[in-house]
Amino acid sequence: MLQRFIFIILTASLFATGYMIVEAQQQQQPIDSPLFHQKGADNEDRAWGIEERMAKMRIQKDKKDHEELIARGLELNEIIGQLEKSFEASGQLSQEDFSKLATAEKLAKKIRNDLGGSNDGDEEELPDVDKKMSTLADAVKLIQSKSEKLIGELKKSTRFTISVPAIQSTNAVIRLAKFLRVRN
Amino acid sequence: MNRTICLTGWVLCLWCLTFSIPAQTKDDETISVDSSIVVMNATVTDTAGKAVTGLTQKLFRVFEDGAEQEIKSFEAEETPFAAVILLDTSGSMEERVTLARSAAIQFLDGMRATDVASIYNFDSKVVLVQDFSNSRDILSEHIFDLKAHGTTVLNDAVYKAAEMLSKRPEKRRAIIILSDGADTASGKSADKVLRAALSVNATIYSVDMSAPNLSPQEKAQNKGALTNFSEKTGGKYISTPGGMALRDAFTRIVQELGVQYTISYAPANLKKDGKWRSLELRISKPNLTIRTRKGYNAPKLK
Repeated sequence: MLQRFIFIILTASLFATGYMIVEAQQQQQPIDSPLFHQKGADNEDRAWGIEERMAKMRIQKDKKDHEELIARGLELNEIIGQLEKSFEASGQLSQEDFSKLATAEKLAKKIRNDLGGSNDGDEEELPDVDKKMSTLADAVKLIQSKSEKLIGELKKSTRFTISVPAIQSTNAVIRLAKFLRVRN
Repeated sequence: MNRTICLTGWVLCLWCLTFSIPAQTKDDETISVDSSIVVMNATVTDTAGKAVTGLTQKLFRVFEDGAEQEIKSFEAEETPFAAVILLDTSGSMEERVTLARSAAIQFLDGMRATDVASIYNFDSKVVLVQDFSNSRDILSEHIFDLKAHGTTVLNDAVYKAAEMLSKRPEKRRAIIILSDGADTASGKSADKVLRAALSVNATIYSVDMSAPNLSPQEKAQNKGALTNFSEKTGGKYISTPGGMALRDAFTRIVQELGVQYTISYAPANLKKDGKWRSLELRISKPNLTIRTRKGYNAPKLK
């Protein structure tokens, strides 16, 4: 009777030990095995290293591009501001103002290009612009407000987004700059 | 005596199996949702993959099973979102748990004041790390104690996330999976889980953290499981092994969620037949791509 009892206890212990070993193996994945780790880790580290460096370069370029985009917007806004002040003071645009208008138009085109807009925007109907730019004074006022809107949209955007209102604002600035130059 | 030993052995074997097999959950559970209004969260991207903002309602058209539907509401940037982040802490993620944790924190940092997110970790079971909150300030200490071990109940985790999102008031919902592989131990099928995610209108973003030295078959298997979730729900599959790329991916996801378009309509077909309804969102502007859910299953009368 005792012999049988001991035998049962031993068998039970054997199964329990077996279960514990299996469970422990499930918890420890092969990556913890020194054999696996040495071989796998080298390749892994190398592959990750290259990918990580590439990702870093890409992210830095994206950040720089976005900062430059905002800087261009600020420069455009500054030029338009000077133009408006000059017009307010004299009631007309000087030769210097016209060269500033040309610079503003170039900047607006560059911004539009960076935003993914195209020259098709030149042909686009802009009813809110076309209706309001009947006089020089109206056009100067409007180009100022469109430039303000553009910089607002650019500041709201991130390197992961593209703003349609920002593209529309560049189109408006380009249209108005052309109008002001032709009206001279 | 031999018979007794054999019997004892079998009893012990059964006892061992009971504890070693992960708890299987019933596959017949359902998440109840309101089907009278269908919501579509859409991400519109340009050719460079950047999310396009500032589009207006008149540019969009919605089709269900090919029939045009009338748009009832259109919301853009201002709409808040609710997200569930699922962190895989199974054994194979051992060396990447820290990366995953920092990416999750990056996500919380990128949220707006009105957005909320919750964090779960999953290995052999799904565990709540942080309930829906807007801030990382109340981030549970538990997130810093996460250790990698056990199997991968990916499907169960996604189902849990869908269930939690179904109780949220936000229309814009997302599940972000951070995992290195396919499911190994769930009680729920991928199909069941996908239907649950679609029914609560959750967009699934999956970030594949598989080690680069996996065999092509293993890679394909992992990618397949995650891509399937993302593509059908209008989300995105991202393969990103490194830390910087991972944090960047999370910043991209949180910003993308902030600029989605949330469009809803009352479906003309109100039959409760449980059948699949395919969805299509069109935009009348060239060179733009729309990502949204591919459809949903109509509710079924019991």
